[in-house]
Amino acid sequence: MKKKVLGLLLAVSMTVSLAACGGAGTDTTTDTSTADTSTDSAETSAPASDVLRIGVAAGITGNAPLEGERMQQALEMALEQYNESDGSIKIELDVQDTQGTTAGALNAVQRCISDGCQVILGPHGSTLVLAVGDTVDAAQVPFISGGTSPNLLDQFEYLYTCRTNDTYAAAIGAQACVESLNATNVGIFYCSDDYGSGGMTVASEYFEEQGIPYSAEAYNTGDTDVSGQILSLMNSGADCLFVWANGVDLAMISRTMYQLGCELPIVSSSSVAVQQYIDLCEPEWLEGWYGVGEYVESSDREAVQQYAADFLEYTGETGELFGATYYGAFQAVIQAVELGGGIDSASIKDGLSQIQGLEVVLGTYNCDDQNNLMHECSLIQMELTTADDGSSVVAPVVLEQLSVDY
Amino acid sequence: MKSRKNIISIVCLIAAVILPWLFNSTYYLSLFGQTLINIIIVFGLNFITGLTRNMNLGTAGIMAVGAYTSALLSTRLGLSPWIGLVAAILVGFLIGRGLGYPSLRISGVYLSLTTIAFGEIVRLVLNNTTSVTGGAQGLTNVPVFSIFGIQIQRGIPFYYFLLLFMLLMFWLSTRIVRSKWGRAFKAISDNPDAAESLGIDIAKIKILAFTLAAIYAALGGALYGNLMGYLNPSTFNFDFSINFVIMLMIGGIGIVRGNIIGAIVVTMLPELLRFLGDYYQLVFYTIAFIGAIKLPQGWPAGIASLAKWIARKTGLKSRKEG
Amino acid sequence: MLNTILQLAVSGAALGFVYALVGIEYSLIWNATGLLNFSHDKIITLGAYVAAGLFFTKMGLPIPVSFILSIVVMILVGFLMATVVLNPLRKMTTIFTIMGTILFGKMIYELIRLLYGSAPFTVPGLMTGTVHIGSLVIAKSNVYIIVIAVIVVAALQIFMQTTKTGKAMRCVQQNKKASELMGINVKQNIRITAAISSVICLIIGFMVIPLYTVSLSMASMIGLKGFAAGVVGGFGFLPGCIVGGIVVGLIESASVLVIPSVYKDAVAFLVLIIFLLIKPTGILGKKS
Repeated sequence: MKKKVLGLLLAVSMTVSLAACGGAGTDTTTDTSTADTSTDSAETSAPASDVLRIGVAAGITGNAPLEGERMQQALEMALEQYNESDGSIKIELDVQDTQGTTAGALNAVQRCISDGCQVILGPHGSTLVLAVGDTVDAAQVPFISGGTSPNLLDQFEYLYTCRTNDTYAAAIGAQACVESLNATNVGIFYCSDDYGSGGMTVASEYFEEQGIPYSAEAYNTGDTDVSGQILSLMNSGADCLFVWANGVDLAMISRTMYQLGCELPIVSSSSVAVQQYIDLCEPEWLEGWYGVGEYVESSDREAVQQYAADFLEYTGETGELFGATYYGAFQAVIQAVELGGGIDSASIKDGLSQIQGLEVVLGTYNCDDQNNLMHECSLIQMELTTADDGSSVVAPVVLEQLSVDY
Repeated sequence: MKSRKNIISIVCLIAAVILPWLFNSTYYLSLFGQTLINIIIVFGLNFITGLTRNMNLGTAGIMAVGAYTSALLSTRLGLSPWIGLVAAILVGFLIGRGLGYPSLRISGVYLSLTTIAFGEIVRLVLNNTTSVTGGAQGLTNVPVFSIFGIQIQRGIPFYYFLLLFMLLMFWLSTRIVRSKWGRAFKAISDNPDAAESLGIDIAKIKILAFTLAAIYAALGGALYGNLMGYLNPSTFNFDFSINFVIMLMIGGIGIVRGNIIGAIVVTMLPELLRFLGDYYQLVFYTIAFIGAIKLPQGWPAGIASLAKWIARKTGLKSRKEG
Repeated sequence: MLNTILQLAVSGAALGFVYALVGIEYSLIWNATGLLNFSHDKIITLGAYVAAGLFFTKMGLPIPVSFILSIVVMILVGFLMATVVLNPLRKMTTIFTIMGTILFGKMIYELIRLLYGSAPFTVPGLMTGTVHIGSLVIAKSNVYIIVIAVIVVAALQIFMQTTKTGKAMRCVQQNKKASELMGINVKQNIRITAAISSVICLIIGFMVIPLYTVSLSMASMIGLKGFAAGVVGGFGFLPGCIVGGIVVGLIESASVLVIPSVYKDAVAFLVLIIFLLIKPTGILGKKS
């Protein structure tokens, strides 16, 4: 009898609470970042009112831990350099691990929001951005990501992207097939994840527009052997290949193409220009490959040279794309604070939208009305040279710096 | 004894009710929501892996199918999430029967391999049928539930919604476990020959267990889609399935209340261990591993016996002195 | 077209031998303990990291020396695995045996990640190059894998038939209680079996470096698909693993001709399920 009464009381009280919350009729979820930290009995409290706390949602564990590591390193370096050269704003970094999963990213971002971060860098990877976007928008915190999927355009109000969107990068690559390589029939080879399939969608649309026939083969991450797919493409009548894959798979793909004797010209996604992935390949596998480059070490742009030298000194590692991406994002935040006139989320968002002509490692930031900051990439070709010790080395050489109308 | 258990249950219930007011942030509320959904799924897993002792390492796959069924109906066809929920239950039922039959012919490790293979195939298919499922880009804008036109927003309202659901499934599970079905489940794992001689149709019972587990998992999947608002096939991988089994093990296999504890520990512990930084995965798995070997009865039972042991030691001492 | 089919057959069979070696290493442990070692893909990865990462890259030792030192390390890893995981779990129910090995694998994975970081790396120039048979191409490393797989099976068969330890292992396989009664130290035997299995994992890990580079996830797919090889060929029967591996490799490779290439990975799993349903003892399997 007692249990029944208790059970009833519980049900009633919960229904009442449900109705009370649900009946509010607004469609935001619970809170904004600063409002709830006072009722939050979590370990961290809101930052002091003059401190800019930058949340960092990085994939430190999970399936792409290298990217997360570089992101964190580059941001720590950026902070140290800022404090040495300027330091007028007090900045804290709040690094949270996304574990490379959607649930982990959501938890990481929510943690940043609870901690009172006024701006968030990351998560990296379009899938994760899509997973957290609604939450961050609802919390009205601007976030900057290097995600490049076409699906991110016009999706979230508070998202700013700092890497050339695939819509442009893949379009530039597809264009290179047709205009620079005079392709009449293209074979597309792509990874079935969001990155690869995004690139494939953009490229195929371009080829259709231009009336160029094409065929497509895909592989899954972790595929043990891509000979079947490559052979199909070689037999398809294509006179040019368009490859949109992840850096970790570059070695397996280029090796297979080389070993099967594929002699078609290849235009590849940006991982072909990333040193860490080049190091996984034998030089002759990549010789002659064209690619869409974002961060090219041999570029004569001063920002690139400076970053590479700084990063090497700071971490002992070679500078690369992921760190450089977020290094630039940090600079965007600093400029946004200046332009927007404050360190609160609204001012930062205002400031970000106003950014024009900001020189960063990857190019120049110009904020367009879809909140994309970067619209450039370069067309590169892999050149085989002989090093001093007689060994072969392959490295990207910039053919052209291209930017897109927006 | 029984009244002590009741008091503990009531205290926990009260704690669960006031919890969202103490930890009112999107981060914690989402975490609690995930925990509640995990509890529901583990209730289901308990029937096969807990009681009938049939290993299921494909829970993520079943969850994914439930999640996508419900989400696709509400996003593509504009149907209410309630219909999506019913659809997910139906789909779970079908999968359960579908997986139940192979489980008659295959057992032990072979069955675990089959369930792993099933999970992987589901993930690969969901990932590559882009036109239907959104593929690797995922599915966005999964809507929230509404009751009589009032939306149940994500956050505190949805937490209570999930809590009610969890309590409902808890009550259901407890009833089933104590019923003749539950006894039959235990019988066919403890002593199949005796069970058969008592007239229990082993095939029917095994399939029933699988069906129940699949329904719970699909239901959990549908709710998961509503909680996150976004689905991606990469979430539902082998590691995800493993987590559920860890929850079952930690809570104590076969014990419904233990399922709750197991799910809470596994979902919350990594978050609580964030301070360990880079090392928390290692610590978590080591703890789980030691638990698997040293505390096969589950942690609550292990802690209880530890407490008894301490009590006995101190009790003995005072007896000697007195 | 014929050329493509033949090339696919060659690639498929070559891959099949990798699966075969995986089947062999876990069959050894299965036969001796009745446990399926779900951590085997992490042990393979560990082997590659120890040889290429620790000895070659960090300590700068030449490859042959690195390999031999790695054998010693992996033998110790095998002993550790037997003592901490296999022997304690043997007496427990299926759930714990499966989860125990899975968790052990995850611990190893985390250790590797913490010690070596997450960036993939490779051994430049290791077993690169191809062999041409007419117009068909096969990577040199694949040829080595085939040769090694055959040698390993032959060596193991001889070992099990002629040496005292080997014969003891066969006894333990068939009946542990009887073995104990006959004075065989079952625990020690399992340790030796685990050590041999770990060394084979090292071989696999090392041999696939030219194919997959050294990375944390280098062995996850071949680990899972390797299960299919053992089941198809005859669960626990060593020469059967070779047959099973080749069959799985060929079917997987040929599937690109009939279904969209993205589903190729699902094929191995489908084959696994079908065999488990229809003929769980496999093509060559005898005992159930």
